[in-house]
Amino acid sequence: MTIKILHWLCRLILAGVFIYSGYVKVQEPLQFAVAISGYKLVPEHLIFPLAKFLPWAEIVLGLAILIGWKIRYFSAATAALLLFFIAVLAITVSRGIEANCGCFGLDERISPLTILRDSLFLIPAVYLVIEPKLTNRWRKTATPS
Amino acid sequence: MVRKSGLTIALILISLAWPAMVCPSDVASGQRLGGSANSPVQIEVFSDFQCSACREFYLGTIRQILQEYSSKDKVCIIYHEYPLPAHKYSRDAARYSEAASRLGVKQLLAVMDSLFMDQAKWSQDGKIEPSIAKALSREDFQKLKQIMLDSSINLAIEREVTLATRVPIKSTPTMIIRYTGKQQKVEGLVTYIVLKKFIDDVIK
Repeated sequence: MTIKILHWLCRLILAGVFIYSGYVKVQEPLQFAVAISGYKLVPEHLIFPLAKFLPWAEIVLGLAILIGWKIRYFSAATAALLLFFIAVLAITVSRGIEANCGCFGLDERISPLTILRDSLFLIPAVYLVIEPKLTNRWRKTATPS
Repeated sequence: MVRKSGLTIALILISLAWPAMVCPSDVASGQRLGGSANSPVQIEVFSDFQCSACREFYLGTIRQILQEYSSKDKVCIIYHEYPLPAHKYSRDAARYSEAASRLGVKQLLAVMDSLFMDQAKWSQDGKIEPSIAKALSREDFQKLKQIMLDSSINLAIEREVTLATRVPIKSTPTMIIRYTGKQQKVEGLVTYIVLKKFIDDVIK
């Protein structure tokens, strides 16, 4: 029962975060493009295509996790995307660039807290990837031999 | 069972969250720089003559969009004056721009070009008139000086500021862009290449 609750909690958190984040950006692709250009990491001609593609990728990942389709693969992809976001944020903070995060809207400046928040989202993603191994181990220790 | 309930939650979330957001504005006011009401893309810009990002946006982005798209009636550009209280001379600059718009689009563009290009200079001492004088013919400059005496100039600026407060505009430059029944508000500097890709995507 606890495992089931944990499983659903991780799925709902991750799916909620990704669907919401993607939805906000899909509504305002140009504003998201402005946020991306603020990072000064992406060549200019790639900024708008990326601003169009990335939100849909987030929504697809979120929906797949919510539905439970190939959940381990999609959780791994989500973890990889989160690691990419964390790396981009860390590089921007270390370069001293005051950019808008563009993570969940417009009014958020990048800070170490933004990096911490994204790192916390890694926990449910990683849990869903390693869940089968973990539950097997828990079952083995729970079953008396 | 688990997959089915997941799918149901997903569908409920989508149906709740999908309606498009709308942002109110007023196309009737402002200064039309190019394009027409029939252009497939309508861009309204809230700008301040003393703001450096507005300068970069106008000279680096808007001028090229006007040349490439508005001349072919693909993009309509409307400028709204939004002189920020923190900028000492931006309201005076806005008054000149408003007066120039009453002479014609050609004169307005010449005055806007000059105001933005000389921004660093007149922002220091508030001497805006030399920048206006060199942008216009002697005849137009005399006409503009007459128009500047008209109290409706100040009223027009006030109307623009009221509109900006109503939208609401938090910073300059802010763009409201309308296309194919959609609308979005964009805050900050948008480079020419990014805006071009967006427009091409919309009107393809």
